[in-house]
Amino acid sequence: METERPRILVVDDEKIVCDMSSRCLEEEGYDVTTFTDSKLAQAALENEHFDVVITDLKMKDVDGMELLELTKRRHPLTKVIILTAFGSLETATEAIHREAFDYFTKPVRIRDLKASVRRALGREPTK
Amino acid sequence: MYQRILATSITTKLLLAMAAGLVFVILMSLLYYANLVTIRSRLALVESMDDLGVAVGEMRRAEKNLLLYHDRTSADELSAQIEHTREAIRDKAAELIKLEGAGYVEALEHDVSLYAELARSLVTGEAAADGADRLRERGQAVERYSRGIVHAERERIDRMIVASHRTLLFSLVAVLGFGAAAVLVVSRLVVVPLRRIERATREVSEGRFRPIRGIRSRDEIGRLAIAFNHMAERIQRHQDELVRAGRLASLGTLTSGVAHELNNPLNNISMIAQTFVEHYHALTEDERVEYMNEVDRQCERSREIVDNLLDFSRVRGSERTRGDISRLLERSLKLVRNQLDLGNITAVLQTGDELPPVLMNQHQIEQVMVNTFTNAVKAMPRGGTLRVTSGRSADGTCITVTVTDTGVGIPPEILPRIFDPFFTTSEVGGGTGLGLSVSYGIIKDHGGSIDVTSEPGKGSTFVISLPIDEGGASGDRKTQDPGG
Repeated sequence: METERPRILVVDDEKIVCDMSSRCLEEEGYDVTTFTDSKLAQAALENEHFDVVITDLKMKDVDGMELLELTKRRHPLTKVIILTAFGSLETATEAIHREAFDYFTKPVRIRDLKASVRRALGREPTK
Repeated sequence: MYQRILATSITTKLLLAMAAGLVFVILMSLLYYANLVTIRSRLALVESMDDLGVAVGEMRRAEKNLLLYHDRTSADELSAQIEHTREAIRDKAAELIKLEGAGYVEALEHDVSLYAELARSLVTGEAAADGADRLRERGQAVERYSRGIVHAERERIDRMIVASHRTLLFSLVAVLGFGAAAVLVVSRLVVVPLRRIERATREVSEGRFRPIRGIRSRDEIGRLAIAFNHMAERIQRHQDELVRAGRLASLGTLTSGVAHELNNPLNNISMIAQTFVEHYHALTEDERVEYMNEVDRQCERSREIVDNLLDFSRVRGSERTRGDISRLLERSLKLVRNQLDLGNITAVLQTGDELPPVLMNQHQIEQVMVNTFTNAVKAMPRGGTLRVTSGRSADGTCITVTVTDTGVGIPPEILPRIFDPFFTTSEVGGGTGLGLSVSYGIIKDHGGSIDVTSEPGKGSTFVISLPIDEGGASGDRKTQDPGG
């Protein structure tokens, strides 16, 4: 049964974001992995498959755009949802251009995030 | 009178001085000329007196012949010479009266009459036995008398010549003295104030806009000083506006960083609240408490961010206080921490041990540091290292802060212009171009200096020096000021 649960990766240098999204998404039946260190997340993406990646944009070491680019290169089918504390038209456009699935500015509504994950997994019709 | 001198122009002052000198020289020349004229007329008198002397001489010669030969020819000759002398006296009477007075002429004529009487009695044989001796004595007296006047007159002329030599020497000394005085006055009136203006101009070029004090004259220099002060005042006002504008500009940069930084704790609080509501029943008592504690911590974090920003934006007085540069650097770095994190920049702060305090407007210096750090961040778009060190200058009189980045560097051709107001490059971009000129103005106003070296492609180093507050340092130790 374990293998059937969709795998979600959450990357954010804010520990609370990792903890809260993990708690809420696990409740939805997902297998959630979290990293506050983007370098570790990068290593995980090199070796493992995730169905959905939720990542903050601005982080130390490796930023969200790089993780998005890596995910799309290694796992073209994996959906990437971007979170950012400082949204701008430029970053949103760039994210869409790099085939991000969704783009949220903080503060994020967990309900919206859950819905976005469901859509990414094809469990709910896309808007 | 003094007020009126102050009001006249330099040209008028110089003309007045020259006119005074000219009048003096003319007066001296006139005096000298009058002396010369007197000497000449006296010399003419003396020469004419010589005629009288010659006549008297001839008379004495005839007297000698008479006493020698006792003949008729000699007697006639003597009486002719006596008559000749009388004529000479009459001819020169006017001059003699002018020289010696009427009494002298009368006395001379009386003497000559007595002489003539003696001569006549000698010729006629009416004379006493010593008649010849008496005639000789009287002749000698007339000769002495007539010569004496010439002798006295020559002495008088000699004295006049000596006196006019003295006058000449005196006027020479006076002219030299007057010239020296004129040089002193001109230097007081012109050169000294000009030097003061020169000094003030140099200060302005170094960014200290102080008005010139102590020039009270209302001549060209006075008006120049007034115009200069007016200019300095306007530049100062302009500089103050630039400082305010620079403050707003850096505040703008900080605000965007702060917005980002603030969104993170806000998001945390929001997510905790949403999870708390959604999972309320599933949460244990401890978890609920922990969630609320976390909310509190995130609120505290937000408040710190806001406090930092408020602290920076608050406009305080311009008073300078003694402050520790290392603590100021820590505070300034905190303000740009978010920019550093986002720009992938590692900040290294090395503060010197027990640095003496600096007398400064801490707010302004903080602004300079934030500006410098922000520029360094902009110069490192791909991340890098910002190294900030504080220490004492080599000569020990200053505290130096060195800010080194590993950014794009500044091309040598624009390096000399980076402190100019409104100078900016499109590459650096984002700023209003105010930061560095404002920093320059603030540091210069503190009596310090700001220098930059840069190597394109390798990075730039800004060295900011601020004078150590020596008096404050000793006071600090005595009072054990906790702030120092």
